[in-house]
Amino acid sequence: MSDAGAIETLLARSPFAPDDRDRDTLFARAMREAFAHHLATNSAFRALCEDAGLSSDAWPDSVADYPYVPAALFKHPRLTRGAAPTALRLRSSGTGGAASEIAVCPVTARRQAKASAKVIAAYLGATRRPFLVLDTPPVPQGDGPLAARSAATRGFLPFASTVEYLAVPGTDPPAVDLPKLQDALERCARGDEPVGVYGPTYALYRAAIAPLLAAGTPVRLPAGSKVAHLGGWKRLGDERVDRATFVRDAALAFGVTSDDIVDFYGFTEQMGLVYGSTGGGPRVTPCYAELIVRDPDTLLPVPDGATGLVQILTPVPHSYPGISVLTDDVGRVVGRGVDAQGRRGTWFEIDGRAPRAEPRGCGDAPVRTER
Amino acid sequence: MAFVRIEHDVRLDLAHDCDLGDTVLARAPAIDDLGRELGALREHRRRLDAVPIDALVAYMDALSAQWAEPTSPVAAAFGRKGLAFLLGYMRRERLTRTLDVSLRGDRHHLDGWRPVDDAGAHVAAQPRGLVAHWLAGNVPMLGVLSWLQATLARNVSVLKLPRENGRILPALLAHVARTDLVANGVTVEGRWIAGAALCVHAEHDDPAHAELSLAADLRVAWGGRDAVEAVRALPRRADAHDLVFGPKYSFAVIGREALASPTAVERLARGLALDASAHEQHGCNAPHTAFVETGGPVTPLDFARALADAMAQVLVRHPKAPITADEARRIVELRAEHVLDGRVFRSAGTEWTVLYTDEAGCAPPCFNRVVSVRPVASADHVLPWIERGHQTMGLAMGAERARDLALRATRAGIERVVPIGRMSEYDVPWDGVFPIDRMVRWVGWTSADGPPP
Repeated sequence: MSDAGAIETLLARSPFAPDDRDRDTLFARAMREAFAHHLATNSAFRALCEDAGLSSDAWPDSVADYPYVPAALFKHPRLTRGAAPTALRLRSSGTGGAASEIAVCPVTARRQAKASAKVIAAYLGATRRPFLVLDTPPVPQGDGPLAARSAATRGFLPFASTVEYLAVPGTDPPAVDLPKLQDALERCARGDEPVGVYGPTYALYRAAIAPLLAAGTPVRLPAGSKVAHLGGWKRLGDERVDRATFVRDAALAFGVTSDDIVDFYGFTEQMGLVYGSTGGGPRVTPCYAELIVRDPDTLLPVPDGATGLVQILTPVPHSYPGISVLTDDVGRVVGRGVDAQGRRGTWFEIDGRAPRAEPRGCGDAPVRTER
Repeated sequence: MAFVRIEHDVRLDLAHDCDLGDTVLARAPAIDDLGRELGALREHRRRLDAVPIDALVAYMDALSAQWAEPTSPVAAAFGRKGLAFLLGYMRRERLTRTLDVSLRGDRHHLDGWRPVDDAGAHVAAQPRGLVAHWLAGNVPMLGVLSWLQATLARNVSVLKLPRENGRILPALLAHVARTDLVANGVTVEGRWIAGAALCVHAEHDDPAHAELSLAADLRVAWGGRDAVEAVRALPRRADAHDLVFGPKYSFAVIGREALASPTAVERLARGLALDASAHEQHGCNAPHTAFVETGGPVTPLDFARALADAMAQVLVRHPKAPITADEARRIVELRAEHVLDGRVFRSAGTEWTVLYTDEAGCAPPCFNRVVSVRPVASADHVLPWIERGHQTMGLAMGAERARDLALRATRAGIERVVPIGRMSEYDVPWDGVFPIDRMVRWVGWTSADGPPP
């Protein structure tokens, strides 16, 4: 069967349909279509695939056998220089090193929007609602690239009937005017329409949840309101705020249930693909993506339950080869199939960035490099 | 807060876990009176005063032979932790040479007065006293050497163990304590030796470190920059000395004439692979870059291929220790970068990697058997890239050129130039000093019987 059109067929599907029996077959076809496209259009990607022994003459039987590109390599100009016309350029935060910059073509942008909307709707509901956003409006600065954080915010706007941006301009991480936030929350609490609150994970906790609790002014948002957040946990982890604490405090601060708090995971190199977790539970891959956990020693897939390096495959990116990315994160697969919420997929947990190995021997002298 | 004592415990199940985990530390008794502990160590040490240095050396040599037996529990537990490196160092010939080179040409300075001249002047090497060792985790056998040298100089040792591999030294000391031998005709009881060493642990911010530092006559710090700087920052007595084995970088240089025959290429590649595989390249003497001269019968790229073959062969005999997810990620990233910007030769997993580019300068260390091969038009081009903090230069070239380059390289900052294949040996001098020399007090006596000056 030809693989042409498999990606669009896949993206037309519901992300977590419990009765989607040929999901794996369609995903495999979509990945072949994606690999064939990038092998033909990106010489750097082709070189990486050839080094890994992949060629379009012999596709692997399993998606776990596809090669991957480490996330850090997306700062390499040879890899991200796309031939397709660019609709948007995305820049990662660069918190793990140099920032990567990715050219997003109209095809990629459309696919991202489609995947993102379907997955977010599965967690927040498809009905538009008033949104309080703990960030500034997501626009590029001048002619520069759009920050990944802003792009993530954009993903939530289709679900907003109105948007109120509450971050103080020019602050990073976003700072929030607390009286203004309290005023907005009280206004929402007085109504009966469910609302959405969204912010980067760190900002939401430090600039909203913790101050609201410290001020003794938690609110009770209307039933069905959702609190969504996205972003790394490193800074909060350093401050000894774990997921359970976050969920407990967020539920208290906004007067919602823990199931109304959705922690989205995603990364710049596969913008548009997000993975929700409600109440601190596992995340589930939509049919647009698959997750492989690899052993640090053998680089082979590990059995479910074992922790390792996280690789995510998706056919969404068209203008750059972000279709199989070895992330900076470690995690594990905790189950497969249909979960208690009726979502089919691979259930997984992300532990965060692989802890930096600190050389404690005597061989860690820095060197001047002339790279 | 205080140190906890890590008992010399031979029963530890070390085949699976050599680290000082929370469970082990929770069981470890707190040391509430360090002074009393030091007194007990000194009592044990006194027994060593009557043991000639040649008997101590013979004891270590015999112990090395015992531990090398395939049936030895030590070999079973630590075969993959660099034991062979330690056993090689403990052999009589190595110890004798090291002691002689370090102690003014004569190890017997440790036993008593040796004449300096015909005028009745004598010198001897007395123990410095209390040697406090802050050990590094990922090259555990270097920490054992630190203790061994202090012991040969008849010092007492307090060894602050790292969490990583922190159970190795206490287990080895337990084996020492159970081993009594007649060495060189002298009875040596293992408890005299093991009893002069105390293994402790505390988190890095514990005030116990300052208490130990103030008690120490010699502070020995091993490890990375943060670790050794933390030790240096502790308060110390004005008369205390320091030995710092801090972060270093090492590399290899191969002259075109050293690649004259296939056999020579194979031998060099094998030697470099061994050097780069020892201690998973975490040692300060492990090569991270090999500079290969162009214009010879074998191109630098072909040498990289030969090195890859050798890395694969060495892996068979010296299996790789597991690495962390972050270490694996760094290896995967480097490999991918070099697929785009150079050439990569690698194992299927993260076991070993040879990277080839024509970039200038030293490649940043990645550790875990990752070697960069870089072409240079002349070995002289390497000299400007040498800086303080560079330790060992493995060298393969004609004798005349080697002698000249070694002198200029050491002038620029290199501390040790050795043939490729011997980089991973622990040798003297080391990091610019003779460590055992620093572990003794040189004392003098002039006999009244001598002729007047």
